[in-house]
Amino acid sequence: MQIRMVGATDIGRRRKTNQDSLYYDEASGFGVVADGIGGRNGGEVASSMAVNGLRKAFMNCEKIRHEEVAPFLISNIDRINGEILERGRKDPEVNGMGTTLNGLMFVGDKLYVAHVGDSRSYMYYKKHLFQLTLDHNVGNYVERGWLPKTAVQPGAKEGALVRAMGLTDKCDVDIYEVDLKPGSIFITCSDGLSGMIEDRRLAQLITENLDQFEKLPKVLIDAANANGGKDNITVIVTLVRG
Amino acid sequence: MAKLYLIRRNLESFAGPMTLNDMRDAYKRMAFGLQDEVSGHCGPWVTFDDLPAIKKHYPEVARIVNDEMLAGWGVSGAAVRIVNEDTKRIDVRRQKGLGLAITFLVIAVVAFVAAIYMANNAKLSGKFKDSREDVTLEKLQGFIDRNDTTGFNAIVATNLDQILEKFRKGKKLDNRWLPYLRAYAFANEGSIPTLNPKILRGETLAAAPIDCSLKAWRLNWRASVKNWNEVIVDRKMVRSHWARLLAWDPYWIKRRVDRKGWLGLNSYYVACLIIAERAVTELMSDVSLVSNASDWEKIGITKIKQRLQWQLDIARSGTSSVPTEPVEGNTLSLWTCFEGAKDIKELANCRAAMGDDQDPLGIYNEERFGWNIARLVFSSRGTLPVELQPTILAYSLKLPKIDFFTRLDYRAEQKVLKAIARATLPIEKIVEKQQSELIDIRINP
Repeated sequence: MQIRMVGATDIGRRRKTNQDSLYYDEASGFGVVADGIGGRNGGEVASSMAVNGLRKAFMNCEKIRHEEVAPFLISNIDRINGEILERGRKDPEVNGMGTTLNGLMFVGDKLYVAHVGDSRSYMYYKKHLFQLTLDHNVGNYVERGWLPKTAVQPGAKEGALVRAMGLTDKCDVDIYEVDLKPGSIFITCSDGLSGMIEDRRLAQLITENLDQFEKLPKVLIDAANANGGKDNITVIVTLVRG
Repeated sequence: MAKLYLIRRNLESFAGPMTLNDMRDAYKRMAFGLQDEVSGHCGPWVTFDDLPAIKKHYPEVARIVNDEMLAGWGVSGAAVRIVNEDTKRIDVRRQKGLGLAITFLVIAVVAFVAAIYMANNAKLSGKFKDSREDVTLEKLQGFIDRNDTTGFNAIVATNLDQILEKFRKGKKLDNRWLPYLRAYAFANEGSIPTLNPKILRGETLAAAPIDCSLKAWRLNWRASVKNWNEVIVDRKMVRSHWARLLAWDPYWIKRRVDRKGWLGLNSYYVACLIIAERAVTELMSDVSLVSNASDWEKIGITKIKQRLQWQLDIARSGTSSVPTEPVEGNTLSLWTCFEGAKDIKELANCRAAMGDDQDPLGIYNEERFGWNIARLVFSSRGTLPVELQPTILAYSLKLPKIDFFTRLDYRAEQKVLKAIARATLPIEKIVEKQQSELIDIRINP
């Protein structure tokens, strides 16, 4: 399978800094989006450490087989999680920082998605849009019975993160495996996009702009900004060709 | 354009996007199960076994769930009413027929209820009446205390509706009933109709499958027959529940006991092993899968059954009479060899037989070797022998907190191993101190 990959990041309309980080490499079929959390510069540092850490690990890896992908992602994300925690402990300026992460690895006829937090990956296919990843937030955990309601502190927001890099020693990462179909499009984004555009509108924008694929990240970012741009916006769009 | 749906399996992989017809075929091919989730265009993910949610979000999928997936679970085919867009104008003659059918049905139900009432009043069967009496927690516990499994299963089977009603009373589930429901479920089908498998499982077991019912394991084993030897012989680490279950470390399970929530079963892991083993045993009597009996051996079912029996025995009692198999070319036997080693020398012999492949399985086996060194060290007495100190220190630093394949959480074991590697006190003293800080884990069960 051949892929086309484009991406962009934008500060949005409300934030003073961009704490999202982005890396993608079409030739290797690799992309990462991270959305930093934590005051001052903490979020920026954490998201940058996550993206660069995974990028370096990927660059150092010559060839990867299907059965090696999950161990590769899990062990490296766990290692980077430890580095983020360690940096936070040593540097009071960034203490308590964390980040979400959505990493894409295209291997043969499969896509592997590594996911922690509430950045999302979607699949678009024949005008249908499906959210692949599950947001690791309080609302979803309570709904699924993974978190007893009694364990949720009064006033906690449904969107509060339960899992992210840099929060705890243990970084539990979801690995999703997707069989590639020609014509499918994968959208990986921070919540600055998914929080500002309804899923149906997102699908509509993709359908309307299929003929100018290269411009899709800008089209989506502009739409998020037009709706208020309350957060930093980052997106990678990947088209699977036959 | 036909509507498409995506199916998410075990929160790990996807099938589709596919049409409704493709979904029906995929289910028949066992490409997914009841515990998996479905999503439509821009819709929420809903598990197939959550029929009310399926009806709410994807009513057109409800027919497949009802006709194909819940058939055999005691759920009536008439429970789901589907309105077909093409047949909104209802035929009056059909309505008349429907009315008659309903009338007969009502009469039949009234007659049945009356018969039961009369039978009770006339004391036609004292035993029958007894079994329908009010079931209390104390009564159920009485059966458990007397070790009367037959009586326990009989009273729960007869009064299941009543027990479920008490369990679900009010907005919050009355969890005092849950251990008994689990004991009944896993002594039978591994499930209770109308009860979500997630409730039986509990909330905090990320490493175990959501659905450990007999039905789910029948599907798991049947769908993976062709892949068994990939795991046993071909050194592949297949990311499926069945392969992970075979890799579960029985000593890890034995260390974790939730007696209150699981009665004699000890934990959900043991319950899953029981059902998985039962499903494999059942499969061995299905001659349609093989051309002759010797083929079972070729596809590896005996090895899988032995492995499951070994895991169950160790997880429950710490000993097993399962015979040892040669380690070479058999990943399951290698794991069993590690777990069966009674001292470091025996463990080293298992390792010597495993070869030195540096593929993912080789690296993983090295970790399993490390956890079994830890197991042997935990149960030893006196100070750590000097010659072992560098090895123990090295393993305490390099072993991962989470087993990347099974996702079992080894943080407690790692902490104890680190403490042993760094202290000069007798091991039993260190273990005793570490044990005092653990609630649900017993270092030396």
